[in-house]
Amino acid sequence: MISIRGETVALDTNVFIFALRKEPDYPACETLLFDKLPALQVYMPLQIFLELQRNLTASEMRRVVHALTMAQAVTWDYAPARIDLIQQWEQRGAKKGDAAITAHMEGAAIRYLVSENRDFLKELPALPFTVLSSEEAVRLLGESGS
Amino acid sequence: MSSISQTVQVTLRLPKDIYERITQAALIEQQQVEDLLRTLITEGLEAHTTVRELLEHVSEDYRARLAREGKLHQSSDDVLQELRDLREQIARDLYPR
Repeated sequence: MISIRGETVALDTNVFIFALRKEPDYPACETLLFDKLPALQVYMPLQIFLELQRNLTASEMRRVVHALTMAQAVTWDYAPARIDLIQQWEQRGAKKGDAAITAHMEGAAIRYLVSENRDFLKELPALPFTVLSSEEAVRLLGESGS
Repeated sequence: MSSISQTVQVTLRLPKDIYERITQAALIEQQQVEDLLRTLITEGLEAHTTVRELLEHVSEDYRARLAREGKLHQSSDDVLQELRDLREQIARDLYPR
């Protein structure tokens, strides 16, 4: 059984949005962000940061950023993803946006993306990272103790 | 901001340079100075809360805003589709080639 405790994970925009909306279809998003954040090591790539910024007001964004500073660790990656990697993933069938996320993840050697977006799995059979639902991420955090 | 149904009026004395920074920030964020002061005080208080308390307040404000915009009861599938579209739009802007 894998554990994501001690692993750096990226949280997709939909995890933040569903958590803040308190979306009943995805209750584990709220559990993961509101209750498990101090146990997580979070990687925040530019693409996801910009998507959040477009969805939230300046005040909401500042407070989400502040919350992220309470994670076990947070890595802010403000650099654009590598163009050669984006093109490579587009050629393999990914849409440009998903290719950008994949390039960020590959470039930073991040092994887990928590997302409710199943497009990654449909588009790309050989991803360099594992896509977990928020429910799976909560379970994998809980299974490793404390 | 959260819980503004009951309010009290407060008179505040600030150093002039702080006040000028606030008016400048209000201009940039296109807010009234009074609204920004309320935001800054709330955020200052939230600096001492737990993650859940902090995010509960953000969620409350976010959901109230979505309700005003008529978007609170969007289906999760519609939200996901909007996020996919936004992802493509941002990626096209960032990486035009």
